[in-house]
Amino acid sequence: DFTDSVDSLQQQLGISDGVEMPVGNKPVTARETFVRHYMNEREDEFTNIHPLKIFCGTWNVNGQSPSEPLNEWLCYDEDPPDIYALGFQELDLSNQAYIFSESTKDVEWQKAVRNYLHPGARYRKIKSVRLVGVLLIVFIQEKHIPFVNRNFIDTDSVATGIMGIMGNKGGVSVRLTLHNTSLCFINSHLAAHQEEYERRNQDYRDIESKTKFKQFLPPLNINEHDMIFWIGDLNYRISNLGINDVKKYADEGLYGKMLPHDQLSSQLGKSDVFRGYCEGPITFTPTYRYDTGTNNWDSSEKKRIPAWCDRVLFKGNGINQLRYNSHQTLCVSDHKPVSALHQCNIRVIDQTKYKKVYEEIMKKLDKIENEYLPQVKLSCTEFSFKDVKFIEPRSDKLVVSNIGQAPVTIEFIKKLDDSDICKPWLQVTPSKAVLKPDEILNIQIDIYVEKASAAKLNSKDDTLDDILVLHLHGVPVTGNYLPSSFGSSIEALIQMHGPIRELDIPKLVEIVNNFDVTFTGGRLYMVPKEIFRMVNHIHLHGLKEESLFQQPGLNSEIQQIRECLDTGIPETLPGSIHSVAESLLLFLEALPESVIPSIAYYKCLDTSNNYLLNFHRNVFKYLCAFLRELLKYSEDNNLDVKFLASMFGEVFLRPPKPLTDPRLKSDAHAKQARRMEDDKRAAFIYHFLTNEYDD
Amino acid sequence: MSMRDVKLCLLGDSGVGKSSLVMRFVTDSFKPALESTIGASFMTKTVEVDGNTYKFQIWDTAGQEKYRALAPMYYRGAAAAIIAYDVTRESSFKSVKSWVQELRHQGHPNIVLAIAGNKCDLEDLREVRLKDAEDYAKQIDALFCETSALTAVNVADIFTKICKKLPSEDFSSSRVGSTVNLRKKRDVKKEKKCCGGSPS
Repeated sequence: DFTDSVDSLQQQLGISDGVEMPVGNKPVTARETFVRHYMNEREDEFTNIHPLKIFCGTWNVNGQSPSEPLNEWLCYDEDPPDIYALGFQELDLSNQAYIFSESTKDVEWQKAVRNYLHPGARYRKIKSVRLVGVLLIVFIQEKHIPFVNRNFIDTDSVATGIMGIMGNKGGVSVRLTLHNTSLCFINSHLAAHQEEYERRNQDYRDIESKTKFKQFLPPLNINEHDMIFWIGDLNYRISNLGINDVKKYADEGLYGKMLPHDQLSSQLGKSDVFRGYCEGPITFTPTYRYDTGTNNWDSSEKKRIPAWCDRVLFKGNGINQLRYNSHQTLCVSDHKPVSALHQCNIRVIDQTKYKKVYEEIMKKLDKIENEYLPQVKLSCTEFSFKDVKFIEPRSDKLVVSNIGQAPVTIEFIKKLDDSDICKPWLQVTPSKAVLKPDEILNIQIDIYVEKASAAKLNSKDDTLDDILVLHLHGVPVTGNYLPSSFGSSIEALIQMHGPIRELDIPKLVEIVNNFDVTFTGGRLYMVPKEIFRMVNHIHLHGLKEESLFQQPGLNSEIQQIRECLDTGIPETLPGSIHSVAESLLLFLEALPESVIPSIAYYKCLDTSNNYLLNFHRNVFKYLCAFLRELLKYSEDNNLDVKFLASMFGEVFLRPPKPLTDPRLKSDAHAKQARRMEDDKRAAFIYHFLTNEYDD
Repeated sequence: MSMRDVKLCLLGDSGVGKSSLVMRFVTDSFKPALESTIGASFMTKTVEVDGNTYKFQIWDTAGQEKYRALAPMYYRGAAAAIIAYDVTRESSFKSVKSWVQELRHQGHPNIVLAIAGNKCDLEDLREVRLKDAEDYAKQIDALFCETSALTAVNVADIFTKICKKLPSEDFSSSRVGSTVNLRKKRDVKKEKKCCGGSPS
């Protein structure tokens, strides 16, 4: 029935499943940020500490279904935890699950987990969030529910696969505020493979920087929380130790010999990776990789070196880890589950004291705000000119001094419904300026009556009086943005024969603003040379590249590629094929008007006729031909037409407005609509990937 | 706690005590001889009423006749307006009526109107009867208080009354839309004074 289909759609989108607690909108204003800051400073005055127990568990379940009791993992402690945060990875490994199909595994594991929560207490689910195979569920004891502000519960997910589309790796997070303490849980599955720790570091940085709780305005970051728990299959391995040594040390419990070689512990606290996070001492055997169903190390031909892939990290004051271990008896996966229990000092508010402090802070903020309002002194507030005559200029001077405490922008502004700041016979110079504190500015006021105004003045249709309105603002923030081909339009790019940075600014402005390319007279490129260079590069070097368009590039290389395209140096594109592929997608995404213009968007969804404007059509034809070429080598590059259709559908066809308002996140109808549009976009592109383009 | 920004505009004849009312409300102080306001001046004040936080952005306009044409710049988009008169000056009460007319035509249709009869500490010099002003306010569905910026009588009250009368549905809609609104207001917030020079 309808509800079922909505649920399954939500699950497919991996955003949430069966919302158990409603979520409201709660924007946070700049002022509220200050209030929070000052309230935090004085928190001790109005809060009492209540120690609560938070259980964090993580398990890479290798696509298996729950087939054994979970109490060994979830009921390990005698007392029931107050909060459970449970992270799963590789929940669903089915082929291409990440793009098209829904997951029944999600339902199975949610159910299994519920059955094995500690019997000593009653729990309610706060929220769960899933990104393909990465699932995070947070439960809380029912007795705490009244102290969890429903408006402040939020989730986010960040895919770290290519262009954030793939989502087979990434991080999901849930945040909540319990009493007066904000909690954030992140479950992540970082890049695999022994040598890829730099890639894992980048995945961490991406998740850390891109996770935004958009329920808040401005959105909250992970780091704006009192207590943060980062769990998951972080995939860090043991380097520079032979497999036999690792197994020997592991079996003898000599973890101290292995820990210095653990890629994560050796970086923790020494680099920007997981800055500020702590981990309890590891006193358990590596949790990866076992022969499924056993406690025996991986005997497959790949011979993985055992590693502590599965970890629990935490950050914040008042967290005391009580235990941290793995659960060896659970054998359904090739990983063992891990859990940690923490005693956390949750701050509970005393309402009366709270109100008093709150009012004091409001008063203080008003005072600060009012004191820092810009203030200027004017030498004169009224100018009177006697006997002004035709074409006889008269002038006077207005002295403005900034007597406030901050820099100020002063600007003469138009009065309501007026088209100019003053009447034509009057002129003020300058009409806008920035003044530092104590700075003084002379403003010239000129009167000059000439033929245009004289008639009206003679006939008394106009009089020689006017009011100048001087507005004061704070100071604008400016930066110098270097023009880039990324974000330039196709029409502009095909006119540029050299790299964009070589153009002087007036020429660039002219090109960018002159959409009427037929009148420029210059030679036009069929497709922008930047697109050509990237496509050509992939064509020459990457046709048979494995996982083309599926494996992400490196940010640093993408930046080098951008520089190369914008400056023309070096001559060949730097970086790996994967970075070039991701740059191409980024380039297409950054086009101000997508390859298929937005005016044709809905027409394209409905039909496959060509509605494309000339220059966009060239680019579209060219790229489709390239994609068809790629598909000829699908055995090598593992591309398939469905995948490319879905991925390029998203960048070729962008709707005139964002598909759905992010605030409608929880609206199932909007999601359903978005889902259907995604499918149509893929179907549209599919047509061009399977047939020759024919004008 | 939910926070709501309330743009409020003070209107009324020159010398009725608009700036003094703002000063009493914002800093709880009084100066006997304030300079005449040029153009308009801006201040903020946050209050809590019934568990909600209201942040007033107060535009205090100049009462002098020569600035009258500028008033729409400040009352357009205002959620509330206080029209002040001086209980010791009958002519200032007459002006209230013309302000009401103008706001009804040009202001926001849901604008909350409040009338403040200031200087009520000067009972001996009174020219406007309390009853007359009360009746008039009731007739036009405006809030009404006699106030004294000098003694602080009813100054905070009139703002509290305004908070309570603000259309409540606005609360949710202003929250949803506040991404846009707040950014706009943040620019406006920093402006304090406007001046006019009128060559004649």
